[in-house]
Amino acid sequence: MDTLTITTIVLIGGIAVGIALGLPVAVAMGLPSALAIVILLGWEGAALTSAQRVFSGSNSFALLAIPFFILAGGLMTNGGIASRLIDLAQVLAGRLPASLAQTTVVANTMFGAVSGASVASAAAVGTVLSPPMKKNGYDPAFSAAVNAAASPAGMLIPPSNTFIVYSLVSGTSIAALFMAGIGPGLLWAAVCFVMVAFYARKHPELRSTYRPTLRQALVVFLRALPALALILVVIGGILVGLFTATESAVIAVLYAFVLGLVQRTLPIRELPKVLLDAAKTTSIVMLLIGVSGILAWVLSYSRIPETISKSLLGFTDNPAIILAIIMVVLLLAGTIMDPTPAILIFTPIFLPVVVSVGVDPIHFGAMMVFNMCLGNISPPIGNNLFVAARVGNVKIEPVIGRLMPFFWALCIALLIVTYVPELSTWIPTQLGFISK
Amino acid sequence: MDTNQDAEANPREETGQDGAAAEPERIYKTFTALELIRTVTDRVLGLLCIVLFVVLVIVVTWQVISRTVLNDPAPWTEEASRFTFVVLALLGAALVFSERGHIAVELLVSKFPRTAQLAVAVAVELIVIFFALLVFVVGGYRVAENAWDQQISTLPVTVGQVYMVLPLVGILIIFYSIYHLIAVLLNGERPVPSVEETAEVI
Repeated sequence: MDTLTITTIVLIGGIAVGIALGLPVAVAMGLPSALAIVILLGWEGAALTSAQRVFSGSNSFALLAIPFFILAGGLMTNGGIASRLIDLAQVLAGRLPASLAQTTVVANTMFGAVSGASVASAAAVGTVLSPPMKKNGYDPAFSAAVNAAASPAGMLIPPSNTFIVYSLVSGTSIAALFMAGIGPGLLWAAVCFVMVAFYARKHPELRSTYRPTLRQALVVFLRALPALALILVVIGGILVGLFTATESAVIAVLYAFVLGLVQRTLPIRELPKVLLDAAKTTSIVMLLIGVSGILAWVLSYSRIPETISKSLLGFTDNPAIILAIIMVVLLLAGTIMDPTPAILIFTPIFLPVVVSVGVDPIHFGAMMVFNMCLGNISPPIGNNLFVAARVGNVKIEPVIGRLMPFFWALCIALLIVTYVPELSTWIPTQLGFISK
Repeated sequence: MDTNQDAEANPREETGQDGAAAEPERIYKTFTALELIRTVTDRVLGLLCIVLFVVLVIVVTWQVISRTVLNDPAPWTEEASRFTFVVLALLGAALVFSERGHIAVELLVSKFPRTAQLAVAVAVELIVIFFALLVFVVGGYRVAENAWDQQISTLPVTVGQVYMVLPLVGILIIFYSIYHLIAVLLNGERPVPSVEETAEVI
């Protein structure tokens, strides 16, 4: 066997066995990569290169957006912005059939536009809306399923930490990716909306009696206005090129902090805990990113992606079939893996393949993140599913049953995102982020 | 956090076949000392992370203000924020090892019988120790050595001095792994870490 074959076996076999045995994914990814470098460069060189890679992998100003968006999200959930957005969602969706379920969808979508992640959103929305939903005769398993299904939209709708991670490994622009996420994110929300509407037709008893007066609606809107202004500052600032993603993320932190203080909804005593939790979440992601630098080095040195690319292209050069194969692989990986490690491992392998058959890297990012969102709600391991069930006080099994119709409908939506590139690329192209 | 409670609720008595009565007692005492060191280390690391995070927010805020409001961008802010961030991320990563909180797929292992889980848990900690030793301690020390005199243009430290965080973090990770190794074998800690279901995923 030549060195390259041995390297490939050590790398792929090591990562697969390591993940299966429950090693921290960062180590399962990092050690086989480091050992592959041992084969290529010897122990001394491997230790040095790996350490260098871990350090430089996280030494990036663009990545600083991640801790800030995480911190801003923590400040917002603790500081009452979330509950104001939920109030507004209730006014907006109040007259629809099964209005509280639709409120869940709208609230999760709006929360996605102020925060970079989605689990916090599921927790906040579920905590507030589960009790009234139960009182109004909703099946708690259904309530939790709607919340689980709707929450990942936040990973697609900008700002999105998941897109920042993809931007890093793919070398694409964060601003372009953020804009590319809007279409798929709204499609995600629309699918949930339609599925709830179908459910509402079968359950006419779920009509709400909530009829806010114009005055009440106005008050709710005014209370939510500062949170809505945050969307404008963060997204707008990036859009017109006033701020980088990192700068707009730090502005989101300050804004959420000051707003929490002014509105007296943010307990100062909670601040150290909010900061520490955000630091830990950041570190988990950053260790993965740093270590994926070792993997990236091995992959580019050993040309493994080219080999995979060639064998896939030897099988077919039809972009539609190649994308279908990749989407199925990612969907399977996503059911057991978190988005960040999956993106860090699979992007360097699959991106060269799809680019060679003419797929835009921005479009590929959008379908990849959409795919990972599906992984977050699918059993056996889906954090949004777990959290929605927990805050809804229901067991996971009945929620899964209620969730599956959403899951299959969203799989169809994934087909649309995959095969209708304009859904992702139209907005960034119009804004000049993708040159034709 | 619940690992602490496990440890207290389950101070394991029997250690083995030798029947030396003093032995379990001694091991338990050593473990209590280890527990204390871990608690102190956790506190210090947690405090450091909070302080560094605040510094990070202030530095990047100053960058935005100096560039957009004062029209006089402060060049040191970019390097300062990047290096603060790397140090924060690495120290935080070590702290998460204390809680066995790093993302892992426990789906398969959680279905194993208990003895197999124990064996896997030992293997996992040993592999983590080997990884930390190779990449963080040895590799980190070497890169620090190589770049010891390389001045960061806008800051009063050298690149090598910042790199020293790598071996430091490596030693911390190894300490936490040894702690968990002992806790799992002798103190009834769960071989498969309990999944933090509410953890934010991105």
